[in-house]
Amino acid sequence: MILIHNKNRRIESSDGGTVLSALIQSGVYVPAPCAGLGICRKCRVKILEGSVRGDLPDAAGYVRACKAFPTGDLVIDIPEAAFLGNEVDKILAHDGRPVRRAAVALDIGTTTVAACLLDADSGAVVDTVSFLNPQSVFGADVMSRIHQCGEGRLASLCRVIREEVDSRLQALKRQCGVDRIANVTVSGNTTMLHLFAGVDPVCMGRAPFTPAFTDETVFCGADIGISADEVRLFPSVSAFIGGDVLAGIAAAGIADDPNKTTLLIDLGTNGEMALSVGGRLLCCSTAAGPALEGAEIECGAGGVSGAINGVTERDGALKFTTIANQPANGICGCGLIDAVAYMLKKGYIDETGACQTDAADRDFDGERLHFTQNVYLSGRDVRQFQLAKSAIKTGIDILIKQAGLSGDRIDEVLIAGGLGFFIDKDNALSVGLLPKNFSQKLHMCGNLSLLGATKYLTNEVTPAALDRAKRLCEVIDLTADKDFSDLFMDNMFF
Amino acid sequence: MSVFDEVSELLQKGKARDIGAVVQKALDEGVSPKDILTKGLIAGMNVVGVKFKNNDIYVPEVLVAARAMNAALTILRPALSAAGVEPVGTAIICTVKGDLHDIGKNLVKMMIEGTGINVIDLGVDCAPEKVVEAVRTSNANVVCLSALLTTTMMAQKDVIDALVEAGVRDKVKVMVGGAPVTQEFADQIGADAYTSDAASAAEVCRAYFD
Ligand code: B12
Repeated sequence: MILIHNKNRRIESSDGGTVLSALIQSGVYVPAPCAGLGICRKCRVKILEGSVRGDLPDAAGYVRACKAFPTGDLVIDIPEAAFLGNEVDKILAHDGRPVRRAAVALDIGTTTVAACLLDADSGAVVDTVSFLNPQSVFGADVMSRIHQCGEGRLASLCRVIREEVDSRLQALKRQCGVDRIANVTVSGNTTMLHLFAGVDPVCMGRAPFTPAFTDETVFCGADIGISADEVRLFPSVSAFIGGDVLAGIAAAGIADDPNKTTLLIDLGTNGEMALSVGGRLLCCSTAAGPALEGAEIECGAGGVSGAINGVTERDGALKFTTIANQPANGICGCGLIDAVAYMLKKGYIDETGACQTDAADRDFDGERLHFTQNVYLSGRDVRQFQLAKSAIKTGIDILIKQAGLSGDRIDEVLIAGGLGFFIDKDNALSVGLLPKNFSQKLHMCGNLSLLGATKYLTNEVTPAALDRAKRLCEVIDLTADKDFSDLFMDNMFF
Repeated sequence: MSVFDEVSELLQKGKARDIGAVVQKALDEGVSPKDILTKGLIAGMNVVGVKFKNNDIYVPEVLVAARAMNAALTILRPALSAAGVEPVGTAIICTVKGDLHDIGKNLVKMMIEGTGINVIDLGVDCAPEKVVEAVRTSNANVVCLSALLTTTMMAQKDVIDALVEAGVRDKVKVMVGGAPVTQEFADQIGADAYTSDAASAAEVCRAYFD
């Protein structure tokens, strides 16, 4: 038996299982981005009473839940920031008018799921809600989830997402006084669509990365446990160019005008991008990694309250802001970009990313930039950031090259993804995440995948338009591009 | 500055073009090719390795240094074999089946070469049978396996199993690495060694030939 002291909750410990598996089985979700490999240290819990084997408690009494096996009864604390829960939930107010027949657009992201409820008769948006994808306990990125399916957990991954979606839909229905949800459109990356459909994604786990399906798929809600008449999944292009990319292309209409050159970038773990030029649509996935979502960063955090989301210099001193103005407990993606830009500006790191020990001062000890005693950015974190930002920048360079363009010829650059809205443009340019000559062309668009799914419900995006975009997409294989490695190296510098 | 220091310095700075000329000049002046290798190139690569481990330099700098090493070796190799200097030994390296990431693998390869070991590179997406074949037909003592995907880590085990099956597991030490790999995982699949970075990989590999 395990007592979660700070939640005042008792759970059974599973026979011979880890603390993490006991938590998952009881529906207590803590983040485990590395899926139990023991690398990321994000699932740490504090042992108050009892003992474990498999992992030694650190000085403060914390162990990795994924490596610790209870040797008897335990009393633990789970760090507040670690609860995957209500923190990102935001429900916009609606005017309370009853809706008879609703339609819901859904964007299933690897980390966050967003839903938008419309009045099916008028097409008006009634409410929007977002919540964390409960599959996160099976790993942060799509590959970890695919790996879990290879270990026989497809049914669990499918069940947790469908159950979570359905319970959110029912809550939305209640809140908005809806009698019935007529249809749901689901956008998401190819892996998320497979998992929601209950189709095995393992063939996307290794080269040649073949999806089991890419066509639009329709379910009867009752068959898959979703309280809606009909559930429609967006089509995808390939294993790493998913329905979310198609939704974004269609929502922003980037392929509509052949005389306009537009680049669409999703600043997320997979870093998908699409370039529309002269009637062509070139796309690629740059595999930036989860650094911009806080994983792989020692004090990294998602967009939870208390995460540092902005860093500036005021009167020569380090100043930072946190989400919801709570005491700092980690650094999220925008905070990371700002912090690296700050370190560059102050000369704490040079243009190669190396820490300058002789630049040490009150905030910087030669290796770490300290925000508080426990929250800092380390030299190793800067290196992780360099990999991520270089992957994005290199993807952009290669798309532009393969289209035979120069960066100046691009008319518009659309930044999608949750991070987009909050990012400091100047810092994103100064750290080289985006090319400098994009500065006047950047438009932050937020969640285009959700917008695409919503527009589908209002017929502003048609099945024909999606199909056209799907057929137009030329997927650029970055592995096959001889210049990738050299550019990737160059772009790592600042 | 001695010619060895000069070679070492050029290597650390990654001056692939200049280093060739300096090596050629040294050879022309009768400097021993073995000394150029050990006191110049290998010494330089050692410094690079230490800096990399300390996080003072990163992947791009190591890669340009390794390229300079290659440029120097192209010129030095004929002189080395003419002087009867043999490589320390042979290692095999590849990225496992299903995985096409090769930047880390290339880095490990070049750092190992930087210790004077001959490396056979089987490339990416490499099937276990290919590794077995290479072990059979070469006199390699070490096999290095790289995997960057959570989904392809297990393919490292497939190679080890194939080596056992083919009865050649005892002929070689197996080293595994790549971002998702851990010491725990390496132990679990019966690998001989794991390291988290290329410089330590080269050190461990070199020690197998002592
Ligand atoms: C560059 C990159 C690519 C390039 C690869 C180019 C190339 N020729 O290698 C491109 C863009 C083509 C690519 C594609 C994909 N990638 Co990729 N990629 C990366 C990235 C950004 C950096 C990897 C890298 O080169 N690191 C630098 C090297 C030097 O480090 P390293 O390989 O770890 O090697 C060091 C050590 O591990 C060690 N080492 C390495 N090998 C060995 C071997 C031995 C024996 C030893 C002892 C040590 C050792 O020494 C090295 C130096 O110190 C990472 C994300 C990140 N931020 O890390 C994703 C990442 C590895 N990719 C990922 C994915 C999923 C993919 C794709 C499958 C899908 C996609 N597009 O998103 C595709 C297809 C891959 C394929 N074709 O096989 C994921 C893996 C996730 C997971 N949990 O499995 C990552 C983590 C990004 C993410 N989305 O989260 N990728």
